[in-house]
Amino acid sequence: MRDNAELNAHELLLRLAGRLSDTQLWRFRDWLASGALPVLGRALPRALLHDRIGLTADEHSLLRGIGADPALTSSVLGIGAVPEPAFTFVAEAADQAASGDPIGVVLGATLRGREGLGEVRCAWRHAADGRVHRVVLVTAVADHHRLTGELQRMLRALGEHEPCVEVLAPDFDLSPYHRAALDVSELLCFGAADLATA
Amino acid sequence: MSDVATGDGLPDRLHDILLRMAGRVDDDALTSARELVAIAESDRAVELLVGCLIAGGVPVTPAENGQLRSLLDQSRSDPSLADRLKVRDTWYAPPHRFSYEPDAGEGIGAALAPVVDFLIGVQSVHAVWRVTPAGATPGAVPQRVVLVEIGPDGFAPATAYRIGQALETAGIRAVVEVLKTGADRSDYHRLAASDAKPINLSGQHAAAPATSGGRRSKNGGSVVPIKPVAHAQAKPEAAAKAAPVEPVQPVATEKAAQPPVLEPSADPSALGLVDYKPIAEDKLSDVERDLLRQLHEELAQREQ
Repeated sequence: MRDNAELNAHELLLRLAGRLSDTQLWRFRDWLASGALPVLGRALPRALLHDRIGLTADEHSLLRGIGADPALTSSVLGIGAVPEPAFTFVAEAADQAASGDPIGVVLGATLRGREGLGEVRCAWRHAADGRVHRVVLVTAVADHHRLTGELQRMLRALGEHEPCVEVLAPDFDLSPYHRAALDVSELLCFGAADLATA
Repeated sequence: MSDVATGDGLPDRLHDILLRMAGRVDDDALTSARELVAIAESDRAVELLVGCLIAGGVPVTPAENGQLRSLLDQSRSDPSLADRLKVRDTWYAPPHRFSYEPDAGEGIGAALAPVVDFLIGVQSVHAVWRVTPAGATPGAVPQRVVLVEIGPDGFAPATAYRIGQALETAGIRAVVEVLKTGADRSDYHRLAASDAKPINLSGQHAAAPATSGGRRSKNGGSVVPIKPVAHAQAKPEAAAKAAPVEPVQPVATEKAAQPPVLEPSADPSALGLVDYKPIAEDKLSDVERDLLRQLHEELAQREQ
């Protein structure tokens, strides 16, 4: 855990990908990017309690590190290990071969060569109920939470209501969710930073 | 902006302040907050709204700030969160723009058919597109807006929730604004209503304002009378058991939700509803009520 509430919050929200609902996750990440950390510190533990989502010991530390109310965080369930993702990932959407991926083109055009970014990749997540969701994976050296917010807003304006944007530090210890997504992901573009994907 | 009135309980006051925030925060936040109010999780609804206002830097008036602080307090949240809101006496925001075309009512009547019997006090439903973005994290435009007017016996949060759910089930993404009859409208809702057109809840949508069998709403929009629902509220389970309504199958896209299209001149009279008006329920026997309901269901099924 780092002595920085925003970094802790970003890492915790990364680790909750695929565990907390997309609806809540993108919203919390937007709040973090926009300076609403105090509300996040209250709403996030309540969401975890409401949805009975457990955290590992390290994740509990991260939750305390964002300034969340100890009375709330203490009640959040503990788990021994991060669960395997309840999704499968593929490289291309079903209709992509025929129609292309206009949103991916916009992302590539916007982020190509940007300072501080490494690779920008995209995977498609399949849920058991048949829903398919784009997952954007970006490696970056700094400002991870603000970049997340920026890309989420861009994707929402392009019609993705619950954007899944994972901005990873080069030294981020990949969760099973991110590893599975990265394994099949396709490259959209390179930023200016020479970062190897973890 | 005029006051949007009025409910005494916490859910009603939350609903009212969410109405005030229409067009100022994103539609998904409004929909989620309304759902939380409807399922009795008011504390999370207030925090969601306040979080969006803080994160988006959305200005609120001193009166709204006071209301939000009070709502945070009464929902056992942290009232000091209201200190982080951007409070302004006045500010400029460009007015939202609305348009009915292309056919904002498409599919809505059919989508609401399965739930209309369970909605209490609904007096009219209108639809329109909003072509301007809302809030700091807007979704794509155009955004469909469904305006619902309810009478004094209606429950606004529940109505917004149930109608939103029914539309989502039918693959229609819309933000549902439930307004109480006689309450003042915000500028946002007045502008929306001026371009909206009515939905006939018999399963059809009206492509043009109704010219007969209707009444004029306070805002000048035409209102098509819909079937009375008092009998449904009295014993909804029995009604559902007697004549189960076929659920609307989810569709992949809005484009696929092709409702029957009325002729341009179509209005309730075209459906054989010339004289159909809300009927005083106390003048009908149970048998007559059932016959009336079956008639409407048959009409709705025929038109699907």
